[in-house]
Amino acid sequence: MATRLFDYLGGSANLCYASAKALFRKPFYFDLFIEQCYSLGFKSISITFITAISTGMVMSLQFGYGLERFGGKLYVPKVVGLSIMRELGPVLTCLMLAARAGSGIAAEIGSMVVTQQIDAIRALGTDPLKKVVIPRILALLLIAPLITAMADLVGIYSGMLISVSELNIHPDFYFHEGLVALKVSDFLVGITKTVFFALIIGVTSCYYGLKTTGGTKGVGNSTTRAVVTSCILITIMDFILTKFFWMIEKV
Amino acid sequence: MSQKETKESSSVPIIQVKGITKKYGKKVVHRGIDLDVYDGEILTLMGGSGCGKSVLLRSLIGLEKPDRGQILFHGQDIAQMDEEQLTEVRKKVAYVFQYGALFDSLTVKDNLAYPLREHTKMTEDEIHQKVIKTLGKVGLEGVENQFPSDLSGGMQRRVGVARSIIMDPEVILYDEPTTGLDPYNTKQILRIIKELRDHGATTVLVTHDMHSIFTVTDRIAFMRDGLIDEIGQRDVIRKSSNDAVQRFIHGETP
Repeated sequence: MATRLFDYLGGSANLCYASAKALFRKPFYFDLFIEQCYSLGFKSISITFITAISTGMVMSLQFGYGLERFGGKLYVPKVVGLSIMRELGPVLTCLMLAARAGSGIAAEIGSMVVTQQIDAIRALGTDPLKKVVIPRILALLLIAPLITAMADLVGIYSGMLISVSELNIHPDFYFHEGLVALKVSDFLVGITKTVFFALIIGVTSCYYGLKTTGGTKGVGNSTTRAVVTSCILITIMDFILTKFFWMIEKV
Repeated sequence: MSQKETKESSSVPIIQVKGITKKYGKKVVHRGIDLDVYDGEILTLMGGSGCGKSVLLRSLIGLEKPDRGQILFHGQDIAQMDEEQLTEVRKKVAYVFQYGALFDSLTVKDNLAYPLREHTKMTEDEIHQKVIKTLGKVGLEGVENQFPSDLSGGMQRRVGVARSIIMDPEVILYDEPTTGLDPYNTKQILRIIKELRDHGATTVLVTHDMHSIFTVTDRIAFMRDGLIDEIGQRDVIRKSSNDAVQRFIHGETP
């Protein structure tokens, strides 16, 4: 267990370093980056939005009926907005990205390893980091904040639907309290978190994909490890970042 | 050094392997291999499974790094090169993978065009012409718009060969190119190997296929226990007095 942890930490740090070095070296494959933005981002929108809708609705219901007992029903929009913007939007969206995009990356790269396509990229005088790894990591770094921003709005809006229909809260009041009353920093904290989460998903998935051995079973193992490791690291990183941002905001 | 040179071709070595060693964990793959590959010859690496043939072949293009020793290509040590420096070597040395290793997300045309788009300034029209011409060389006209998954195993191998030769390399390394192929595709691959040699390509071939070995090869290097046990001209190896060589050729217990 400890050996695997150190293998992962060392290997992923190496991958990050090598990718950062290769990033500024010609040639640049902009078309591959765009392709990955579509494949990892656009195709993940539905799953992240479904999660956001469900989260917004459940939060409204739970807080609505929960706070009603203490006469705090009117705080629902603020609580829902704040929770989604700062916490649930970024974390749940990125967990969904880890499940959908991260598994896809690990499986695709793993298959390329076992069918010697990664070796072929090298043998043909090109760099797998530039061709395979960098476009995927960069795409995730761009799409994770974008999708999260959209998912935040979808989540808050779906919360409003429940608040209006089930809790008799006026839409104007919900909109004002749920969105306008939030600070820009609330939004930025959530979005900044997603950049770290995207890096975790991208590096972890590429690392396990490239480390694949042992045929189709190996591809399955790499995919599982990529998703599990990404999810665990996202939750750990979430705590660290939350603590860090509150410390900064309190100063 | 237990390498026993029975006869040597003329000409200058284009690749020189000097005392390379390689270990994976506790498993020793190479124990100090010395090998010269001469300009324009077909050299076959022969030996039992796990004797280090494929690792040696991969080392010749820098896909594996030896722990010690040198691999000189035109006098430059590729064992010491980083990936960026190896790019130049890989434009001149091509590697044909055992199962083709075609990019399954690309069409046959895009697979063949890949090195041209990466390393040349040819226009799309010129690339198209070159792709068609190269596919013709391996007897595969009209498949350029198909995906690798639409082709048979033998056709995929030939596309793999076509992709490797499209840059007109000086040296072509084949990793078991005929394994698992039907007689027709085996014959096609061997014809291509011979034709490319006739056009000046130096060839290093790894195979277990005795028919391939004695049909196309000029010299044979017999590997055993991480070393080159015997090396020489095809007919000399065929009649070798080395017991291990004879047992291997006749399919007896190693």
